[in-house]
Amino acid sequence: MPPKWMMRFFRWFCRRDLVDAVEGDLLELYERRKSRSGKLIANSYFLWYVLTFCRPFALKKQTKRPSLNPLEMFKLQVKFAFRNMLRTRFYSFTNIFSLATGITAVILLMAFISKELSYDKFHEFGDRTYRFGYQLESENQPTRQLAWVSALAGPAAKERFPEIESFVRVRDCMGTMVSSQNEVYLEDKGFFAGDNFFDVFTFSMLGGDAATALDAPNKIVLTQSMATRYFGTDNPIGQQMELRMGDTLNLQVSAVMEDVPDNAHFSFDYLISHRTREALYPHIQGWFALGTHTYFRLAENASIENFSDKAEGMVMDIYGEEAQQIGFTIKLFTQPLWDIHLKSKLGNEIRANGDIQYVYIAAGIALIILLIAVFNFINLSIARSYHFMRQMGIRKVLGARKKQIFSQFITESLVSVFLAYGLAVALAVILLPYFNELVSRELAISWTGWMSLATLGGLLIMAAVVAGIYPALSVVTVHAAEAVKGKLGGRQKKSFTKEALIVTQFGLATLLVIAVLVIRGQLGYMMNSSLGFDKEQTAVIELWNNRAARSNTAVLKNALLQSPDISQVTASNSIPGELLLNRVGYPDGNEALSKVMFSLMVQDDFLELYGLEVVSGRGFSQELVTDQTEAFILNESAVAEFGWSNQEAIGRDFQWGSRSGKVIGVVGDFHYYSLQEQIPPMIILPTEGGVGFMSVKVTGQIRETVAMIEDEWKTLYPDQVLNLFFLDDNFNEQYQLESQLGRIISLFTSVAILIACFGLFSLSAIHVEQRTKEIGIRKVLGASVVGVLFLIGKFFLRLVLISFVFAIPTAWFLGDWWLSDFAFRMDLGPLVFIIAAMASLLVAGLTVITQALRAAVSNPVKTLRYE
Amino acid sequence: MKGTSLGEFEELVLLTVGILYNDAYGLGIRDELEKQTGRNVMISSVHKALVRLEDKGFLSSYMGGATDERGGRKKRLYELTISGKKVLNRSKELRNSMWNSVPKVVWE
Repeated sequence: MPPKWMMRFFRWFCRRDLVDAVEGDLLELYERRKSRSGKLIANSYFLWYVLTFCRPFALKKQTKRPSLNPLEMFKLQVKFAFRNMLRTRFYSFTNIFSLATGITAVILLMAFISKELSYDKFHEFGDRTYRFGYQLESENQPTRQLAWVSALAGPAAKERFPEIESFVRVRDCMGTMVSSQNEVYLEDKGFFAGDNFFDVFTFSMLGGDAATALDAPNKIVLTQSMATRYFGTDNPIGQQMELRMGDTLNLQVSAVMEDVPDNAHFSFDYLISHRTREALYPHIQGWFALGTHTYFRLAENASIENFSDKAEGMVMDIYGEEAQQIGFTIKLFTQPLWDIHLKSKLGNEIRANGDIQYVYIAAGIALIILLIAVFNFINLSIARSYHFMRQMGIRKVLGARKKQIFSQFITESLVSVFLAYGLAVALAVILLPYFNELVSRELAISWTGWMSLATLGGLLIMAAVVAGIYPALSVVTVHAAEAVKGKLGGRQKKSFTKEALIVTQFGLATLLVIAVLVIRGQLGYMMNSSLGFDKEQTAVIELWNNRAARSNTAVLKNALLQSPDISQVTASNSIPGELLLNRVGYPDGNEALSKVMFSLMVQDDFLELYGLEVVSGRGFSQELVTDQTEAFILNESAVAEFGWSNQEAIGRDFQWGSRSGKVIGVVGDFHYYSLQEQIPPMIILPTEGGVGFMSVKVTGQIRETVAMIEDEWKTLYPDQVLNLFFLDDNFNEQYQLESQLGRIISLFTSVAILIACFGLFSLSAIHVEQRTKEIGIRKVLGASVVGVLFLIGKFFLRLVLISFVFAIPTAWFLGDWWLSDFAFRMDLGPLVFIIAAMASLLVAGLTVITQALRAAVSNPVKTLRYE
Repeated sequence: MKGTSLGEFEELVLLTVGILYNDAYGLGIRDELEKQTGRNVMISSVHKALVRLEDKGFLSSYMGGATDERGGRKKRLYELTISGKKVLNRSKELRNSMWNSVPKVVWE
């Protein structure tokens, strides 16, 4: 006989009425062939002959059954789906609701992610637009990268390198703005911008000509909302404005543009032509006079790598000798425009950027929530299907085919998914404004967003099919007679799938809880740990735009000190959290020892007001005249950089810029910037009058004191707008990103835990139901309530415990990764993990116990009678 | 009823069924065909023709004796139906009349 599988294959495809006759013929041929050429050859001939029968005439005809109207069948299935849902209201509700919650969270997070990824993408030439930055290198010091360059760099590069198609310089410019109609506001969101601003960046103009809008001194371009603010419905073009910023600029509105989209890495209300600044300060032309951001567009065929290599040495070619003298090498580097928002964290960014890390974290949370929700859905669908065992059994008895049972299950889960999806989209639209507030973005569920919604929908349909197939399989394999009795067949066995899904769910939820604890912990650590100075109760008045106040601080200072609610007032060129001047200094007349130092210029009572600790030597003294000109105080980091001990530093000769003097004291290190950053080497010296901030120590009621300061200011400087803020608020703004992240993660972790608990709740309810009889018998035989609780509880708690084994190492790894970004970080001790584990265990325990208790206190007489 | 035309191979199969008379089954027909024509004939082609001829109503079949060399499978035995005989006759007549219409000179 030929091999079995060939026969089986033949019988599989051949039509019934031909099988016997043809098979007989083939076997006859086979025997003939075998006796002539042996078994092997006969076998292959047999296969060949079989294959020649794979022709339409011999194939099985599609067995014709009375055809069922597919539309009617579908309607019937949907009707049954709804009936079944109503019969198991509780499970259906938890199932749909938890899935909807999960999808809502994912939709919102996706909106956030797509917004973050969309930054600066609206510029027409964004793909070949770059920003120049300075990279400062000097011996024995870490290399430092700055986002700004000298105003000379742009024009020089354009002249040297034909690859640059167009460049633009942008520089901060703020002050008190007065319009010809006498509207007065303090404006701080504006720039001096070069001629080609609208060539490099793409913004649409609402009036005026973009090409000439900034090509001459004293031209100003307004955004639409600023134009409305000053001129209402009048035509702003050609109107006069005045900007008071120390000097007074007389400006004429040349154009009005659309408001800057919120996904630009810098935004502004107005642009003043850069030529205005050039006319005003023609003398400021140093290569180390920083503060200008320079963007350029590379020619289409040029490669940025080659260009960067060429441009790197440009500054030193021109400026080499001088730079050598101060001990620097300045390299020019380039950054793609599209990387700035997510990847650039240089000193002196125009404003704090986002962080690619947070995009990853958001994507991670979205994925986790989606997984939890989908697993939940699958689990609950499986559990729920046991209710319909009998129904399916009867369907089978009445002649339902496998296909029909499958499609019934799949229809049911598809209906649930669609309901959940609809609910989720509605929820997302409703919650979007609140979510926007939370992340301080203006998110929208946009067109591209809808695209990803569709993808998400595809994923969920897959989940629905899986959730339908799994229970369908378990029903199909059960014999109809068993099913009619409502027996679960193979389902009595422990279900590995179900357990694995619960473990994954709880593992992921625990992971999120740990993430929340770590992020909040670090945030608390940063906000509350001692900064080395006193930031409480300190109001700060900004003076940069008030020439009168800056040139004679004593007037305002004395006026304020009259108040009993103010104990101290001082002025300085910077305050903690704000920019510091970089300049080199060297000791003992030895220029070779030059170091870049962050220079803080203060009035002599600064140390006292800020509570800085003098660890060696002394602070500034008002009595000593020499202190006003030739005293320096270093911080410990600076002392360490020169390799001295705190005592050795005292009395050294020191040179800083053009000033020479002696080191009179050393202050303890304090965190001038956020705890994310290292403490820079600092030099503190008496100001020469260049102050920008007045710090006021408030001892009385905040509100009244602020009102008092406002009055005082109005009397002294009636034409200036007061800009007053509190030091701790200002400083903590540096943690905005982290506190946002903390809020987002807390919110979504609650969502994830809620979903996981919903799942566990329903599952334990079903579990208890299935064991009703067992528990009844146990109770009859004398089991106690506690014993029954334990019986039910241990099944689930075991799973939750297993989930920790996966969750905790992962969480430790991720937490460490996130914390590695901070210069000063909390300890990632075991406590965090213990708390998270206890929390998960507690929540899971409570959920299960509410169900277990129902079973445990039930009357066995009733439960045993339930058939 | 499907079309009543007859292909060349189908005509040969029909004739062979007639030749074999009481023992016309798939393989037997093939063997006879090979013997008569000297051509190689695929067993599946024979069966295909048989199915089609039965569909057209020129053949009828019944299940007949099993033998050991067939692994105990029964034979499906075919015989000509009346319309089968008619169609053979018709094609023979057609041929004859056409033969007769060919001028003698052609054959010389």
